Amino acid sequence: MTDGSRRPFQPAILLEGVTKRFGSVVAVDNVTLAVEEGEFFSLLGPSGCGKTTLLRMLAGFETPDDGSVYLRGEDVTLVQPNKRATNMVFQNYELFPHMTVFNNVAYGLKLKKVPRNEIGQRVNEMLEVVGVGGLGTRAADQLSGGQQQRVALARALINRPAVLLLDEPLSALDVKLRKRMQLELKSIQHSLGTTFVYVTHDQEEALLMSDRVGIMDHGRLLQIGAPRSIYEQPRNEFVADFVGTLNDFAITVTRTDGDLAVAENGDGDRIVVMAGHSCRAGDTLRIAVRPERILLTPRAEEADSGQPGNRLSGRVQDVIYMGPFTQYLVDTGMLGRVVSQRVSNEEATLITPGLEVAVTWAVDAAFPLSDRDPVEAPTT
Amino acid sequence: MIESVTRRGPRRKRSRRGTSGEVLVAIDRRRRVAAWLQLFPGSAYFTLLFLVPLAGLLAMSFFRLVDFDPVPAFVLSNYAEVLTTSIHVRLGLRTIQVAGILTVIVLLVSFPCAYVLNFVFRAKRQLLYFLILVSLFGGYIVRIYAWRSILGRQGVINQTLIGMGIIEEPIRYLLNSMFAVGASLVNFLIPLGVLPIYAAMQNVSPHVIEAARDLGASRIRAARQIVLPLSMRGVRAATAFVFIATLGEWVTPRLLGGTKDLLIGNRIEFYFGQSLEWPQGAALAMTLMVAMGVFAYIIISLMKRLTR
Amino acid sequence: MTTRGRVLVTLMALALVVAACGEDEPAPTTAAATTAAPTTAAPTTTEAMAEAMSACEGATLSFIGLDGEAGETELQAWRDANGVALETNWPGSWPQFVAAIKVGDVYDLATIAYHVGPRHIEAGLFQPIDTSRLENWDKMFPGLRENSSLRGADGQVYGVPIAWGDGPYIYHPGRVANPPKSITELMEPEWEGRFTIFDSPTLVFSMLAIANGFDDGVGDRTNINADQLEVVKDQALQILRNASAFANGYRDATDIMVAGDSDLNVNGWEAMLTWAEEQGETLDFAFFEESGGGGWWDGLAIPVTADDVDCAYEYIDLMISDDINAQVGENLVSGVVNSNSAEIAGPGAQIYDYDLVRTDTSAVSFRNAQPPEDDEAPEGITSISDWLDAWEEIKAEA
Repeated sequence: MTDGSRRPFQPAILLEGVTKRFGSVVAVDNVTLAVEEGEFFSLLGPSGCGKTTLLRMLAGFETPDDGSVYLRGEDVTLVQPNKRATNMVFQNYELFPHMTVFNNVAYGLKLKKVPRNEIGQRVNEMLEVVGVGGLGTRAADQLSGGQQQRVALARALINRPAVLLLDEPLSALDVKLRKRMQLELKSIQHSLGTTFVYVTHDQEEALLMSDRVGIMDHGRLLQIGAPRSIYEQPRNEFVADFVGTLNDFAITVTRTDGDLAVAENGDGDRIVVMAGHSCRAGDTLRIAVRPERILLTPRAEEADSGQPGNRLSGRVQDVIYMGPFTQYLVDTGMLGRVVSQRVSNEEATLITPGLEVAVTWAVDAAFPLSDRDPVEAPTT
Repeated sequence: MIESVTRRGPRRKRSRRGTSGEVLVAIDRRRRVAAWLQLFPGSAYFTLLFLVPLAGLLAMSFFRLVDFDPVPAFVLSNYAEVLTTSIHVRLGLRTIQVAGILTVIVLLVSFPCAYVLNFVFRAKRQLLYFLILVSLFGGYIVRIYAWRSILGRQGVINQTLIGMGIIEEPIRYLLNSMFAVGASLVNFLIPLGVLPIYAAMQNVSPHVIEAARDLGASRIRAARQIVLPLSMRGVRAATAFVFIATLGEWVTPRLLGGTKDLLIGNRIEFYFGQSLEWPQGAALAMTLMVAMGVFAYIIISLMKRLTR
Repeated sequence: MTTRGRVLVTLMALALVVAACGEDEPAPTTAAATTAAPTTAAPTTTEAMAEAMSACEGATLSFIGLDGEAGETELQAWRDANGVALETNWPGSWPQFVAAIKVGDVYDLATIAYHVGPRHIEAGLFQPIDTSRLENWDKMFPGLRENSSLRGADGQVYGVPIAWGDGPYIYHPGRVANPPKSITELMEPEWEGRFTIFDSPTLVFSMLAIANGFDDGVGDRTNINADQLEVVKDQALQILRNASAFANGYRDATDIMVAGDSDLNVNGWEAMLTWAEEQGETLDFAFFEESGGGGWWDGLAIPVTADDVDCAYEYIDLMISDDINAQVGENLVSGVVNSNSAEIAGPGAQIYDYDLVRTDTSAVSFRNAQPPEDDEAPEGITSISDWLDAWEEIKAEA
């Protein structure tokens, strides 16, 4: 961060039009993205979407068929992995089983011919940082999963890479440990200030840890943004569906009112959505609303059914208790099944199956869904 | 199920608890018998065709020679004669030396070969491995005759060198020499060397090599520092195979080595084939076998000690 | 495993067993081994057929001896015409041959070979041959007919030669300008790496013994004392050092010469010229002065345990008859014993120089070049064990 020889405002990583094919399969399709210095950036997507291939191209284990990879301004597209300023934490840790923990972590330093006493000091420091302080003399194949994970992290970080690449490092851990490690990783990244590029298929994890997230599907980069913007303003149906759950509907516009489009049936149900000026009565729109933005009020207690905004009548079909929150499956006449999700508090317990309820949500809680492919290139 | 099993067995009146215990023992016994039966053909074959002749050879080494006929007896003079002949000591040492050199050469070829098979040609590696093994099936003598025509005065090597103008007269030393013996043996032994190393390398994940490279190691350094230690078990086995196989060699030196007795195996062949002193030959053969066993032990424990 | 898998595995195992139990090659024999298939059919002359109508009709002849030397192919037609069955046996080695006859097994015919013949005659294995019962006896070359090696101590004939050869060496005339006159020339530097030799102490030592004048080339054995053996041994060492390799048989020696890796082989057999011709190379034969005496013959004798002696005589007579003996010579690539056969024999038998045996005192000595056995060596004379020990030592030094 204080490297004066680096031009200011230069991204840590720049990928330009990077494409990779394996036979007839296009694993990475014309991806362009920039990762800032010190950023915790996640690549999120389902299995086979190309995120790991992209990561490996950053590391140097694959070479792009088209496009270039820049590391701090330098073109490293064809540079071998052992000569790049990146280090990787592998999904199966890939510790060297025939060496001790100490020697595993020291491996990179030894190759750089760092003096022995300095190695000792730095290794022990790093082991403390990742939380395996006393295990230096243990054989690497005699550690628990969590310990191995930390050692793999230490082994990579100790080399002070420009960018740390992490390939689903927590996927083999149990839930509790994983949650703890997520927070620890975030904290380590923050204190060291190293740029992290993190690959995962777990959207919760990505949203929790990252400064920015890039969503990939079938080799294409669909959207990049801060977690909130990805979640609340997904650019297309895939992103919206992949990150969190949604209710998605198709409505027919009955009238417009400035920017707003309104769909009404005759029974007092009304849907109001922001649609832009090009929308006309009679158009069909697809919209989505997050379950946690959908409020349920028992009909009996409904204050004023004439208020403007979204309102549907429905009957609660099912109540699913999920610990910290509860899901309600509500059958509405106009939109069919609607899912609502509320925190499990006393108020929520009043909503019981069979109850007649009013279903409402804020106008800006809904967003339109376009096709899978975004119209313009994704930006922050 | 418990009922039907006990009905097959002898009729007994037991309590429920006793019955289930009995079932476990019955099943276990049946499984054990089945296991023994399955082992039987292989062990019978091994015993009949290997252990029995070996025992015969051992017995022969104590027989007395009367008029070129071995006569059952128990004398130690054969061993005395065989172990005190200076030629034997000299040939024995030379054989060990040759075995050592060839083992090193074979390992130097086998390890990269197994590495390339496992990590470079990962997709086609089974097919390529099979091709290497196929050369073992080609027949021992056929290979030797092939080498004879390759190394001869009108063979490929000499003709190429002459054609390229590097030499004018064919090199005679290529054939009927230690070089010819070495070349043919190395050719024969490489599959034996590749086999165990390849097998051991199967357990090495290519990602661990990537991890080493990611940390700054070149491919060669990663092979040396990571892959080699992790496949050491296979390297040890390969060393033992190759070394011991070479110790017993006599056909190759006989056909490619000129008129000289090159290896201790030639001496054993002399006893059995020419001078018809079978007890002495058997004594020398048994001595060689004991030496092989000792070497196997030394090599493996030494290598274990030296490499983790 | 599935049923199909089981069937497959069983079939494969059976195939392996059948392959392993394949026919064995006949054991290699002395120079008289058959190498080529018969080149001509077997025309039997009418007089031979007429002779056949006699004691042999429907008989079974039992033969013990070398493969190919009982007229298996040459007299096939005659046997078929007369309903004669021929059983051939080879017990594996000469000592076992002796044992079989001594034990009393019935054999009507046996091989008698020049190098073991005298000893076998002495051991009383065969009955004397009444040569007046053989019509073709007088047609035999005198050099063979009068040779002492056919006879026992009592002067009677015990064996009838059917084929013979001399003891040349074979060389490549294109690469050898001056064929050596003595085996001692092979010790010279100019011969380094240019020839192959057989792994046989008796061959090498005995020739060197003659070359050095230690042995006169006459009689049944090569007798030399320890000092002489030392001299011979040193020379043999030099020869082994010069030799490029041991040849493993006559065919092997031919192949090596044709491939260009040797120019000469000691010793040789005229058949090698034929084989080389097939591969487009021309070889020639010549004689060392000291081995011009060497030579061999193989023949038939009648064991003392013979059952059908009359038929045996007939059979032997046929084997040395004009036509049949010509075929024998051709098939065995050896010299014919019948002087009439020499005219009509094919190229395989024509190579031989019949002048060598046209006189009473054969220029070919047919002597056995073996040293004495351990128990029969005279005082101070080296025995076979001494020779083997010496050979053992020089093979380590070479």
